[in-house]
Amino acid sequence: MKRGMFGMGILAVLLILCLIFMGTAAVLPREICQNLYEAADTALLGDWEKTAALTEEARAAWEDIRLFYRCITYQDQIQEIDSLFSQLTAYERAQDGGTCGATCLSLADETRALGEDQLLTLWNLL
Amino acid sequence: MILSYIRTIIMYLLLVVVIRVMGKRQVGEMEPAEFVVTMLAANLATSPIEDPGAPLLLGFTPILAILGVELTLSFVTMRSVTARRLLCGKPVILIENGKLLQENLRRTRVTLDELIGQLRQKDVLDISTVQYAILETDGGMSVFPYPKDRPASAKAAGIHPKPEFLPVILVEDGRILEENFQKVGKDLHWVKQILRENHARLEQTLLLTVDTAGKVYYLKKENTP
Repeated sequence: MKRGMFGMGILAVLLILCLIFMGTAAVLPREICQNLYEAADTALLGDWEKTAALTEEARAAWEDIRLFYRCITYQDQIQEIDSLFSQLTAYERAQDGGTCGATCLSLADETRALGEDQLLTLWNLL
Repeated sequence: MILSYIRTIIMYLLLVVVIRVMGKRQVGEMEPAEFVVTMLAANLATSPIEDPGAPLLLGFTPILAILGVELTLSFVTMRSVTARRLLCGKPVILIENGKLLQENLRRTRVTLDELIGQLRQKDVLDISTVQYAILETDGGMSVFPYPKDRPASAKAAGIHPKPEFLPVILVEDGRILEENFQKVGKDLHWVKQILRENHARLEQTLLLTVDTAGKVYYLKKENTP
């Protein structure tokens, strides 16, 4: 009886923790994605001051949540995002609007995928 | 490299705890679901060990989930005969009253070679001496020869052997197990007396047991000064 209850308790606790993780993981990248989408627009328009401010906000937000994702997802994905942020810095300095915008969009997609990969959807399950 | 080393230790300890909590015995006595759990847990544990890029949680979460499912199913099978039949199956009689049930043999996919091999493991050479042979749910086989072919018990032979008692360990590998004194009504003074009688010291003692009838067994360590 005790072991049965212990087993059900483990399942219940794991389920709750997984749901909390899922909710948190899905919500956290939103701010970063929003900033990066806006930065892509401003980069294409040539507003480099605003682009730099937005990407810096995105970078700071990423640093805040990086450790969390490091614990729940593969290192490859984290390194890919870090690499894109580094490239973004270079394109901002070069003031290459097209490439900078494209990198912002790629980065936003990668970050959004981090959250979406944790969601309980049929496609993720399959 | 150091990551693999530390992760291996962590996953190993986790598996030991999980198997221990499940309360399982050796592989040969496992039900099918239990065997699956053991194999799954072992495979899942290798994932974070082999791939340092994979988070440790990728190993922890599924293993703990398997533990939870296994304990829950154990509880359910204890309570429900239907669930037990579904998960563990039913024992199947292969030999009944000396007759080999060939249909059951085919159904369970047990070959004659396997059946005869199992009988040999139960010290049965002549299949005609077997009254019942039952294939159990854990894959083992229970064999019951005809009464006339069974080894005679002491009772059947009219012999009245002395009762035997479970020996209790009082000294093991040079350490005194004081918590066992009460079981046999002995104390430290008695242990020291036994050691004196055997001309030995505590650190030279490998094993000292006594049962409730007072029978003492003493074993000295080899190659000790």
